[in-house]
Amino acid sequence: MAHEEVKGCIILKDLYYAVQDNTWVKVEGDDVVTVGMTDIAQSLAGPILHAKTKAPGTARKKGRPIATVESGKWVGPVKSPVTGEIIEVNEALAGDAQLINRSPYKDGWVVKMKASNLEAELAEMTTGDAAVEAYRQKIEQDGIECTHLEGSDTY
Amino acid sequence: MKIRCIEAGTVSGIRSQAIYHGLAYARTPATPDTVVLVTPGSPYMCIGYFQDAGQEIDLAWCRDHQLPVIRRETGGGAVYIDDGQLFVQWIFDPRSLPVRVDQRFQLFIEPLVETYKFFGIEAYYHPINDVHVAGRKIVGTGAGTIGEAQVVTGNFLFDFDFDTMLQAVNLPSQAFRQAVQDNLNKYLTTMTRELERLPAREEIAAVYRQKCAATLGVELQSGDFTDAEWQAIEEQEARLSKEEWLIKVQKQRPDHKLFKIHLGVWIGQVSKPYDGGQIGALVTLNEGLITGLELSWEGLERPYTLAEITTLMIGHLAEKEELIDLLMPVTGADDSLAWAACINQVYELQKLQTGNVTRLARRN
Repeated sequence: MAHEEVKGCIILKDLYYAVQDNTWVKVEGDDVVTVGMTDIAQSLAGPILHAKTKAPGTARKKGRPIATVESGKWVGPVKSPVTGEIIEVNEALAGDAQLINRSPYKDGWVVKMKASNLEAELAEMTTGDAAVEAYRQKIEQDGIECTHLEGSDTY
Repeated sequence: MKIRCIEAGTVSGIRSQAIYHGLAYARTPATPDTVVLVTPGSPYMCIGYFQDAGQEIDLAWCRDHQLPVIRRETGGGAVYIDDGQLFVQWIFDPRSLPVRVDQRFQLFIEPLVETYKFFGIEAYYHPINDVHVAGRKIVGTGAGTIGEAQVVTGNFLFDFDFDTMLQAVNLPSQAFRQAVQDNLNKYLTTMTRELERLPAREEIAAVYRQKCAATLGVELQSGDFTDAEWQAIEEQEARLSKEEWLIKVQKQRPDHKLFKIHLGVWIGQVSKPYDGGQIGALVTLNEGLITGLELSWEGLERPYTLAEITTLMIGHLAEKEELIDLLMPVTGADDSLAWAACINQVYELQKLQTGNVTRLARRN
């Protein structure tokens, strides 16, 4: 999979990113998307101990939480990058939340959603080289360096 | 931009929690970063956002003793809170704080440490989010994104009611309770323990404000809640008081119990079926070393005693291979594997809870 690594942070070029909220979107077709936390998000949070997703059937506006995670006494939301309905959640996270740390773009996906305004919302995200450049700026501006748990995906 | 500092005096226990929730939810782009200093005037038990109240707390005991139980929107574990502490709350714009969670805690902790030092307590930052004095924890912290705000909380601990805390938490056995009591006494400290003369809360608040301003490089200006914030605090007080909020998280009951004294010290209990019987271990770990161990067995007869093998393991790292090597000459291969697996499970559970911090490694 085409990717770039900036200060240890992996950015996959074929995903769409809501850079501000550090979430990614993979377009599956028929307005269905898979959503997850970026490698940068998992690094900033540190090892994740708990993850609880909203239930399937929950309608979310863009920017509203689709899940809540806890790492090292910090609790925070995963914000939805699209408007739509949650149609599937990653059940594996309930038993092993560190999947998000070890495999943020694969096994650690968070929810699948049926988006209701996908074209317009994808246009507000970045992808490809533009995403790499946006994250490069963010990484340098915030002094971010990604860290990974043992057993993390390799690229 | 200046930071608003609100010294909120003494309020009820539930209000001491509702304040930072309310300020966070009421936050607008025009709201200044805010530091709140408040004394919880009435005692309560407080659990972390992801905790199952029924599993962590003896709810019946708390009800019988009129001890409220409150679930907060920040992380961490169950803790007893009363007027023995001065509660410190930061409700900040996310852009005012470091982006990394561990660095956020470190920044928050710096003025706490400096204030303790000012009063003669040799406190220091203990990563990721503790403050220690000679290996004993003196500050508990929590953090979270609440609404559009970043919240970090901590405390100045004057005194701590160990007995009530021990009664209020759910623990699986008297032996486990005793181990918790021993280790709380050993690894927690308070200003009362550290100082001959306790400073007044006003003195601490004044020094803390100076240290906070020095850390953040911004003046702290005394302020008060706005009308909208008061309303939000009252709404949050009502929400946090609801039974349905308290029991919102319900988890499957695990086959083990793990209790954190502080980030390095854990007590765990595991039992496993083995060879037609049952073996069990109550383990105290300090930075992975076995410092306390009580073994049990049922339905087994062996040519060695539990006391013999317990002695072998105390002081050793709870790694499976190391334990097998120690036990093998006394117990034989199969038993050494079984005991090592039982004890090592506590270690693995603890590592998972501390986020495998020791395993963090950069790629490359």
